[in-house]
Amino acid sequence: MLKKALHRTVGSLAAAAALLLGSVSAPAATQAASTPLVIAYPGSPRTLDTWLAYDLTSDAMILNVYDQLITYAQVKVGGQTQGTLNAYAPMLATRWTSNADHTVYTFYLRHNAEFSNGDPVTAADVVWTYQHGMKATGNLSFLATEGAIKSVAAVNPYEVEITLSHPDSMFLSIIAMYPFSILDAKVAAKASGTYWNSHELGSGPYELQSLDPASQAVFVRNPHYWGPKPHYAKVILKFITDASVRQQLVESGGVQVALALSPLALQTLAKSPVVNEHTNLSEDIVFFGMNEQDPPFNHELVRQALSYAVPYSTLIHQVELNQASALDSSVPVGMPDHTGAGWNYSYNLTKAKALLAQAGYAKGFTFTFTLDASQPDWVQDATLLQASFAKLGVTMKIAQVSDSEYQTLLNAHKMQAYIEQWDSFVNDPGYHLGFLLAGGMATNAANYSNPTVNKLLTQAEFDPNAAQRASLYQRIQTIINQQAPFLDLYQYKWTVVTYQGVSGYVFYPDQLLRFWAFK
Amino acid sequence: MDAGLPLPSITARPEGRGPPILTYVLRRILMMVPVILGVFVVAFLLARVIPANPALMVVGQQSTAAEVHAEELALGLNLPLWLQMWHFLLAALHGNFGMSIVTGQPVLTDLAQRFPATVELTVASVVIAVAVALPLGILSALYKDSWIDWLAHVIALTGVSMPLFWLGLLLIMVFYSALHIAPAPLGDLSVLYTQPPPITHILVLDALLEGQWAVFWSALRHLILPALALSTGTISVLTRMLRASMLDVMRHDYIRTARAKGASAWRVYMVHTLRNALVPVVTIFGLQLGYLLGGAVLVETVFNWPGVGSYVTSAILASDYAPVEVFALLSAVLYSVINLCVDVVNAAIDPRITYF
Repeated sequence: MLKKALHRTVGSLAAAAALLLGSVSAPAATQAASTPLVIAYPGSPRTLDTWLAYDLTSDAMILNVYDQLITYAQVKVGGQTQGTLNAYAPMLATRWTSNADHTVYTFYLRHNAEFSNGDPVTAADVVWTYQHGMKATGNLSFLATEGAIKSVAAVNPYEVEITLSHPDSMFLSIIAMYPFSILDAKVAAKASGTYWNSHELGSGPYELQSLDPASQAVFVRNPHYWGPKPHYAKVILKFITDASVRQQLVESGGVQVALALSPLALQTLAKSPVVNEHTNLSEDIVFFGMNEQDPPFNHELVRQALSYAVPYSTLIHQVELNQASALDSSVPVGMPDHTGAGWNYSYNLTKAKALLAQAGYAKGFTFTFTLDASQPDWVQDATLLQASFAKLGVTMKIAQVSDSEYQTLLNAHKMQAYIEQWDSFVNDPGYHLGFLLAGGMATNAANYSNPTVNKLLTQAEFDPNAAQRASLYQRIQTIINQQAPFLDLYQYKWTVVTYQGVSGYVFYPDQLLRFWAFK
Repeated sequence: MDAGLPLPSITARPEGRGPPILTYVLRRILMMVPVILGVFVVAFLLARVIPANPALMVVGQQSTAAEVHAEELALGLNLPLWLQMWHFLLAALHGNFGMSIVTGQPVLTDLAQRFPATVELTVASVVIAVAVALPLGILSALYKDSWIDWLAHVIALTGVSMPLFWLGLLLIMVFYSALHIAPAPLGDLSVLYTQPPPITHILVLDALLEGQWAVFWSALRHLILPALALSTGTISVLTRMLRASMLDVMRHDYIRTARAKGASAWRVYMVHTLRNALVPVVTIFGLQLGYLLGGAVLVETVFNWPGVGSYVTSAILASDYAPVEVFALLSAVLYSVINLCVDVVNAAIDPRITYF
């Protein structure tokens, strides 16, 4: 009797398992007519407020929905089309002019641009966006100061005049950035403060159909878009925090585009016949910062000594698996006016020991290094650096903290030593060096301050002559490279992986995807 | 012959059985209040122990000190902790559970939108767990020390040993990546379909009620793997608990008496033994429901499931305090209510249980 019950039960279980497997493996029913483009992003958007967004996902979501006055142009580099942050193309403005001393710019707007709700884009929207953005807290007001924007006025419904307080070489580069996305003044004037955290209303090629910040965002073509219709009618961003899942998804075609995969994943995918890797040098630098208010890092020779104790090649080839490139300055390769002059470091422990002895630290010293534990490659970097420094008698104690805690400590300038990654908002050495290494800056966590460097930075900021500015920035870099406030570890490469059949990807140094380019 | 005892009256005081159920329930509800408050205080403080600054997460690294400070004032972070807690509780009593920094929506709205997806996942995992654990537990007790008992033991040990996060990734690797029989772990529905009109807000049910068979199959396929991952811990615990409980009951004299009196094997084991063996299992099952809620946080994150769990994960990563605090509060309430229900059900199953 019991045996019969057992057989019945086992049989039922087996049938249930078959049904389960059958339901899982049942072939998909007929698919919808147009296949969307699915992109796996590494994180959720923090905010869709154009004046507050600063993470990869939010920035991309804004860029594909909104227009700016102008945009970045595309150039051919080694036969490959890519975006450049230093040449510009029309967007809402079909053309622009400036006066002789480049303090007044006039932008002529296209007449057929509309927001996705059908409202026409006029000079009033541009003026509202700029004026209110400059008064509010956020990236637009901050960048407007960097770009020396003094005032914005409508000359007529399709003509906008922007006046600068002084000629500024960064101005055009800055207004092409996403914080200068033009808002619908009628809607924005009535919206509450947090409305834009999760809503978008632009005149760009796509509009946001739905958003679940924890899992996905869905974009559809903007029916009112003035430009060419994008190939994909629907684009879905999936927020997949686990890099191994992103890798599996793109390899199986579950997503068509994947970002921010680990070096090991990229090494594996390079052998796959169904994906393509698009790798370019980014302007994302990684450096080891040393707090110069904390002995012995106030001693230039100590910093130089440690610069000779970094196993640069090992970090690039074994940690980053060639997904990074050598960095020979505090300014990344690819940024205008970059120079490696004054940067003569290599892995040379003999020289390092000699410099330490000269500095009075022949027996070494001990310091605390704070590590953002959310970055797996930095964990490996720290381990290698610790081992290398130990050969000099330098003991590096590692304190691992969470990313949010790390950001707080970084902001407070309370770390003795740290690894940091920096990708400048604006592709300009003045901006880059000004934030990282100008004395007294909130973002200068190394507390580096050199009066000559500060003076030269100010001089370059106001110099209208490009050649003279280049010369000044190169002088500044030479001084900084010699004084070694950072150990310049490497510069990241940026790789986007696409599944077979997807083409059209164009690299821009801001690392933001333009969905409309994909085919 | 056993005759089921009638359910005790909720107002009468049966002799020797303590206060009526209603009084007991009310007393338990009162006891819940300090428990829930305690959980909330701990969650509130834990969220703030890590020296992260939500204002900085909002305005970004390349912002000035003045901008960060302005955001801190806007978020009320400059106030003393006890005052922040007090404001939150006061607002909560008026139904205002704060706003999410990330979504810009009231936290309750966010949770309400996501809760059905978590319910769907949790219910599916409970169904799988019960469907597997019940027969497995019974059979391993009846065939003690046989190959089926050994198999049940291995399954239970494996399920309880594997971390959920890792198990989820393993299932994806095997069934999606290697065998290509599971769909991509991209949520609760294929990207090719749109959600049916919400009736129950449970995707599988709504698709079924609307007669959208393609959507139903897609939703079911997407549900299986995460539900399976989430159910493994419960399967393990229930299997072992039921086995132990059945073995214990089978040793009692009344079971031997029933067999001696000629009752069928079915009646002896499925009616007399199982019914009594279920009492501790129901208790454990109630505790497991709390585990399922916590496990859903991990599973939803791995499978990109649009439920409460993934929402809370992204809130934690963004130092978005309000969703984390509300989730802790609601979890405490849910857990307490579930345990109360389990105790009442136990009393209904077993007339011998007295409550106080």
